[in-house]
Amino acid sequence: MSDSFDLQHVNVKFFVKDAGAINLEDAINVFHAWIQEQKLDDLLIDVADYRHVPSGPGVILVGHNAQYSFDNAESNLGILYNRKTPVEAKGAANVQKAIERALEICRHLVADDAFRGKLEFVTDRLQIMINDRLIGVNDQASFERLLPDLTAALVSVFGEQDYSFERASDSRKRLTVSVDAPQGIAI
Amino acid sequence: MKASNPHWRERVVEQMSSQLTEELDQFETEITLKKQGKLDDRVFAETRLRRGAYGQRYDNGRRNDGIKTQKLEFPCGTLTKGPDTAWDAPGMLRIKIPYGGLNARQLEVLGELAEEYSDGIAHVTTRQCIQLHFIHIDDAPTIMRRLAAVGITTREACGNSVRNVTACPFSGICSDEAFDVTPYAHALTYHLLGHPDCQNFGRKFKPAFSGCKDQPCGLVKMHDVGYIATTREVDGKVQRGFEMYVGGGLGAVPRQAKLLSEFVSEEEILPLTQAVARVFGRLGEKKNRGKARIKFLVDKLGIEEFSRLVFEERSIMEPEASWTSYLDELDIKDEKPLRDAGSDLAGNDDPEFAKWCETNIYQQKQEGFVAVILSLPLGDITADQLRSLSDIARKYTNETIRTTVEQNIILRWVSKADVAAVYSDLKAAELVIPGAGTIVDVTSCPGTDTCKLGISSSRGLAAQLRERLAEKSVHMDQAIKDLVIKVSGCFNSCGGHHVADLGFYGVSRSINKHSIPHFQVVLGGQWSHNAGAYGLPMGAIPSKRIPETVDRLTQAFLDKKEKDESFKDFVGRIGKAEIKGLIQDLTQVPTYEEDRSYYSDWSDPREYTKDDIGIGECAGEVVTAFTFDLTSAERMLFEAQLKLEKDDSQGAAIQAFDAMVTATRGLLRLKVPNVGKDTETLVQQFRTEYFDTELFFDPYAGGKFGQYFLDAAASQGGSVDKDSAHRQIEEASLFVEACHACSGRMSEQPTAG
Repeated sequence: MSDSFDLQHVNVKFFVKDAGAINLEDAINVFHAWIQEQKLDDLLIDVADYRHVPSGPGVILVGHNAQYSFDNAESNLGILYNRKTPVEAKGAANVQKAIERALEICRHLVADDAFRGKLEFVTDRLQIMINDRLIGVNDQASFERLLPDLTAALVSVFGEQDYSFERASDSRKRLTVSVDAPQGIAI
Repeated sequence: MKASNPHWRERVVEQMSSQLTEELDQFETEITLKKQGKLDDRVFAETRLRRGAYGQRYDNGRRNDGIKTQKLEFPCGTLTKGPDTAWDAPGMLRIKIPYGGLNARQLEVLGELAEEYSDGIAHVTTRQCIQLHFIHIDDAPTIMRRLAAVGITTREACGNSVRNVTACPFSGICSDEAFDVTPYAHALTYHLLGHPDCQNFGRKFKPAFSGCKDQPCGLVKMHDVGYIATTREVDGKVQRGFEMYVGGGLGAVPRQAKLLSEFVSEEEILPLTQAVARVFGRLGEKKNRGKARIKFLVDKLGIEEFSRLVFEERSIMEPEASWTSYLDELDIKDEKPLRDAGSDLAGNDDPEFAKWCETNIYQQKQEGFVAVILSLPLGDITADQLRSLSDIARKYTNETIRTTVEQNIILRWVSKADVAAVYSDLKAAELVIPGAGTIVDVTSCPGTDTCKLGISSSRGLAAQLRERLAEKSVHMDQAIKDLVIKVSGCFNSCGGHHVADLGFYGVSRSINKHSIPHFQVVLGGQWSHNAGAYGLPMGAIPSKRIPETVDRLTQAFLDKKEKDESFKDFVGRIGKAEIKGLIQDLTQVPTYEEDRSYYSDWSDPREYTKDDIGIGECAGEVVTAFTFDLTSAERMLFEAQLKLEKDDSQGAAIQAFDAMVTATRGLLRLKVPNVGKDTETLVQQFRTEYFDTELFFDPYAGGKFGQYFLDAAASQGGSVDKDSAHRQIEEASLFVEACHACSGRMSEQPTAG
């Protein structure tokens, strides 16, 4: 990928294995506690509760640089890292940072008393989105330009394996790529 | 930290009107000037408010986390976007949707913006607007450009301006209406948008249209200015017009609007509104924001005197083409069905379908067509749902979509033959929540979720009530189903609690040094008859006991109501004392040690506090038109300098002169009512009012700076080189400074008496 295709606003979602085991009210409590502790390396500002919206954003921890949420889009509960501000890194390094940040959130949540033993993740699939339709048009050309950086980032974080990729078909959506990792990813 | 991609301008500029392109470039320049410290906080605050960029809770950089008030160390440091408002703090963007009208592409763009800049949700407000939350101010120009590219403006969505013109969402398809008010609401919107007569208000100004008198849809009587469609026969011809009302409003001091005229013809509706705006701008309160809405002016003068002043003003107004030009194209807002009319709604075996049809289908006056009501929980809709809805709107209709003041969306002109298929498609998008317009369909303002003024969690309570009432709705008596519940986070009534059968607004109480969120119970308001009556407060109940309060009150209504008695009449008949007796025990709060849940609000585990309440921006900043003009003049000087840097001497000189003209207009506002835009007239007025009288003369430089302006006016059109452009910018700068100084001297002069 060339430098001109400057990836920004990379989103990463890891899917929850058993959504039924998760009570999103716990997420509200945990996120408020994180604000009290300023637990993340970001200015944590507020919690937004969208549990009433079907297949919606769920519960969001709003930070200055990113939003961190129990996202329920497409009725598929997961932990979504949604980068808002630009980052210094470009290309694969930027994707890698986003994946690592999302993993960090997942690990914090798994370790929290509220979710211990309940929160598990799907280990053979994740989703990457480019949250700016001008940077990442959802078409085949952009998808193909993204793949080398995406693959390099995945290899850096999870190691070599036979990743496969599928782009969201609706061209109006953000450039969204579902990643299958047949040998599994460690969360 | 700029989050948005600056290249969006290039992408969408071709699709924007030249006026919006210019306005948004100016706004971006104002952002640059603010960052350079060249724009006053108050002026920038009102500037961004008039562009729809609103503050949000915690933007003063402080937030109580339940234990202590934390300082939010935004990276912007001391940079602010208004008094005590951190630059980097997330804010809200209010998007005006005149009469709630939307098309499919607009839905898609709203979804895109919600995903890319907000939290994935577009929120329908109680005045048919759309709001995006958690927006960074640096992203605002890009968002506004992307909206402008699909014909949407955020201009004057907030601040002391003419707000969104609302209208009955069933206009044009309603059996009860005198006629379709849509083209009139459209015409009024664009006539008043940015109109010079609407730039000097002390507070906001909200218009509303209704097609008939008895139904609630327009809520005319709670608006600053309202119009109810009516007709009369003159010489055998039917003439269209409006009953026109002024001075309504909710808030802490609610007022029913008063009749200004029983019949205002369609030719007169725009100029007469403009006359109202002029009187409000000239005589309305400017200093005390709590008394600055037009309702207070009507109170103070009395409706007779207010009317006299309005009609007197109308008589001296110079005609404007737009007053009546729209009448030649009243049909531009006409809607046509995409598909043939159908005869019945059958065709779906889903047992939920029939239940949904009972409440979410509206029979149009046009045979064979219905409007489908999408009940949105708390007015929230996701980006995915917006895309699905845009597909459905294209597939079954000519994209005839409206938002409603009940925070729902209506899809009009659905053939009855397609209803079952539309239901299936909406179901796939999870947009078939039944109970639209019933007690389940609770509306709420943002409250403590995002509003700086919120006292209690209105959305938290509304969500709780929705969930409980939806469970009970299967076995609910129709009399209960028909009740209306509205919740506001504070007394300002953005949730419209005054006009509900059961209204609630946030208050707090303290016991043993602990604060407890409460809601004041307001009963007996009237949603029908255009919000024909306001409810009365019955007492404050702890927030966590409001669901039980609703149960008690609805049960009492069911048990004791007389045949066909409305809830309002029931409350009036049995009296406040008995009602209060019904809920008196619910006012009790367990001690902190007994039950701490009462000391937190809905969906918020933090121990409740009022520490987070900030200074609201509903009232905007009272910035005079003079200050706005002088600020614009300074911005123009900045732009002139940029042009000179790019060797555009001609453009720089023109811009410098325009800065002088704009400053002159501001100065003239201090002496001349209703200042126009014609440059020649402004130059002449400046000479007469300020130069010949020596009022403009500097104690040391005399008339030198004024002469710069007169000379520049006389030499317009001549050749310009880099040196002369440079000189003109310098002279213009000195002239603008002299305007400031002149205004200062005038304000220091003792007034008579």
